[in-house]
Amino acid sequence: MANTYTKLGSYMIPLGSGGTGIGFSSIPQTYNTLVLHVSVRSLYASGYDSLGMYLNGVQTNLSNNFMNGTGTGTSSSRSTYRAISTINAAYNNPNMFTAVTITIPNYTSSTFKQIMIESFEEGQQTAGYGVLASELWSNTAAINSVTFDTATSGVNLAPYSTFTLYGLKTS
Amino acid sequence: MTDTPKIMEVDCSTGIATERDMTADELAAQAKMQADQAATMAAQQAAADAKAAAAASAADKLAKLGLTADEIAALQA
Repeated sequence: MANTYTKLGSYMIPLGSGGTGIGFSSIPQTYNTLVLHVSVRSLYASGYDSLGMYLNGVQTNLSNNFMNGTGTGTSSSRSTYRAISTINAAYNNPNMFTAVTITIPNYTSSTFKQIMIESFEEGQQTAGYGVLASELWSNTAAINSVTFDTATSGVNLAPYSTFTLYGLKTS
Repeated sequence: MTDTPKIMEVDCSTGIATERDMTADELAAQAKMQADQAATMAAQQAAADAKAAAAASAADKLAKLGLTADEIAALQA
């Protein structure tokens, strides 16, 4: 168990104020691993939506592998886009948030970055939708910022969506 | 004139959240994403419309062969 698990920043979108995107900047370079806990939904009313994440403001050289599970089956998919998880939206589950956890080890290294993502559309009464994903960001820069938005629709994230960033030391 | 979409950014060194405009790169990515989504939805709608039209055409041909409405519904279930 790591001897530190430090909250570096947190933001909840207030009621009455949607947010196109949420980000963390000036991330300290003194930890080994970043962990983000997100509770999120989208205001998109015309279709399914997804959560987008990009690092250092860069949206290229991303490679994702997804393993998806529903109440009736499993599937897998790949992408090179910034969408990391399907999320509840006004279209399918207007009042339910999706829980997402993102782990970014070795975020200060000068090598390519490996990222793990797990999410679940919590609160569904029938078939939930779970995603376990790995991402490779082929960029050698140390990570100093993380930004989230809706990656399918471009509409605002819903009020009460909450983003919290932690730093972990592994020794 | 519409406002530039915003990013609420938390500075981890101060804990202060500040709203900023999306950068040109972010705006370009968002515009492409919305265009892709509109194209995807249009394609899905066209496919659904074509499937419905094919089903209606098939039902009409089956009716001309003498099948009852219940029998056609059973085949399409």
